[in-house]
Formats: sequence, structure tokens, C-alpha cells
Amino acid sequence: MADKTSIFTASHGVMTKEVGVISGELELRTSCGEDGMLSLAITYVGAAEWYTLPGEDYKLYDQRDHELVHHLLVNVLERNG
Amino acid sequence: MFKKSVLFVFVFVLAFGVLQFQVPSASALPPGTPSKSTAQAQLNALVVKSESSMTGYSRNLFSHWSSQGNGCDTRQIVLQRDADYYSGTCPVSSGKWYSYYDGVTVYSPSDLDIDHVVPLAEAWRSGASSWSSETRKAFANDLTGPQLIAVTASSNRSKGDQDPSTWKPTRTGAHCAYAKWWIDTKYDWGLSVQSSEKSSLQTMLNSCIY
Repeated sequence: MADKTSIFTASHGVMTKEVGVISGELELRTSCGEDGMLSLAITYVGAAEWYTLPGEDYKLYDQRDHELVHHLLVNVLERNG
Repeated sequence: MFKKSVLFVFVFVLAFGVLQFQVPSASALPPGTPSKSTAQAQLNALVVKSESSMTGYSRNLFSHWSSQGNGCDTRQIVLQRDADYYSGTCPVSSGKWYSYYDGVTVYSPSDLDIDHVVPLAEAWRSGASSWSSETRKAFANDLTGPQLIAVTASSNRSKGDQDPSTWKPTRTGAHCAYAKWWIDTKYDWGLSVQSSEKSSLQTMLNSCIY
């Protein structure tokens, strides 16, 4: 299992399964399993609980794509001002 | 003469009938909504500062929904309070609700969330991080002020933790009351505002007639 994390700002928020939209300084964690299955989690920077991004069963056919997908997601989710 | 009195009775019955129709249904709004001038004074008094960090935050630190007696918790009490009518007592099984934020009418409690007008995460970064757990619990279950309201789950989720600078009710007619509830809650609980949040609140409050 490989994890990648990034911190970014989403002033207008990101939708989560558990608590609806969360906003501000956030941390995205993408985890890629041996089988290429990707799981996406998000939290407030420094907070004590993680939430799940909507959607599931994302599968990477080449785990070398994990880094690219991770950065793609951060760029999509980041919204300043 | 006879005809006249019959007509009079008829008009009287008709008028009474119309009055009956105008009797309001159960209050669909939270208690403690301030007047425009009171809300303005409260807004002026709020401390303006940038938000503090979310370090250590967890929704579990605001325990909800707490028991309110007779097998009812805070969520059930608000469902009953905000219903036009309902059946079932804790749990409420069905009824009719008007979701103030988006103007949608629903008939099943499962379509409703109880919104914290000032979200728990927003409270955390504007002062609640330093509260005791008892204070956080009282805030999360506040039935005396205008902090809790039954709205569609979809509107509650799209709002999430956002303040009025990034999220407002989709129904423009709801902006006045929403601003009043937000201001009153922050004032009552001694929470701060950001400058962008304050100016959005002022704009919404300006739309109030009284």
C-alpha cells in the first residue's frame, strides 16, 4: 500500500461522504493497493478524523500512475479565494 | 329583514372560515430570531479576526444528539418542532416539512438533516476549540437559540462547514433570517467572525425589512 499526501486550500470546499462540504486548509491522502485499487481520504490539516471523497472502486492499471492521479486530484480540488 | 340576517350569518361564517385558513401551522422556524436592529447591534459587536487552525478537531468533541427526555433526542425534538404535522414520537416516522433553505417540501424524516446554523467546524475555528466538552455539547444541542433547523439533507450537505461568504441558502428569501440566526448564534456563544463573513452577513441583513 502506497500513500501520498498533499496539503492544499479549498476555500469553497470539497464534498465528503460523511459530513458534506469541508473547506479551508485540507490534506488529501490517496492510497494505492497492490491490486491498483485507489482510496481517497481527506481531512482538515491537523484534525483528528478523516473523511471519504465520493466515488469508489477507482482502479489504476499501472501503479506508476498513482503520483500523476494524486496531483491531478489536488489540482482539481484546490480552489483559492 | 329575515333575508338580511341570513346573509349576515352567511358572511360571518364565510369570514370565520377564511380566518381559520389563516391560522398558522406549527412554527417551522427556530426560536430566538432577533429583530433587524438587534441583529445589527450584535453583528457590530462581534470580534473580527482570522480563523484559528483545525488542529485536534473532531465532530465527536461536540457530542450530539443528546437525550432530551421521554426517549427523545435533540434531533427528534427539532423534527417535531419544525414539522407542519408529523406522526410517530421519537422516532418521528412521517410528516410534512418545509425546508427553509431551498424551499423544498418533504414528507420523510430520512430526507432531513438537522443543520447546525453555525457549523461545528466553523465554531471550532472561531473560538470553540478552547471550550470545555460541556460547553461544546450545549452548543451542539442548543434548542433555546436559533442554531438548529430541519432542512433537506442535500442543502445541509452542500453547505457543510462553510460560512456565509462561500455559502448562502439557495432561496434568496431565506437570506434575511439565515443571517439573523448566524449572527445571533455567534453573538450568544462569543464566537468571532472573519471580515469576509462579516460583509456577507451585512449584505444579507440589509435585505431584512424588520
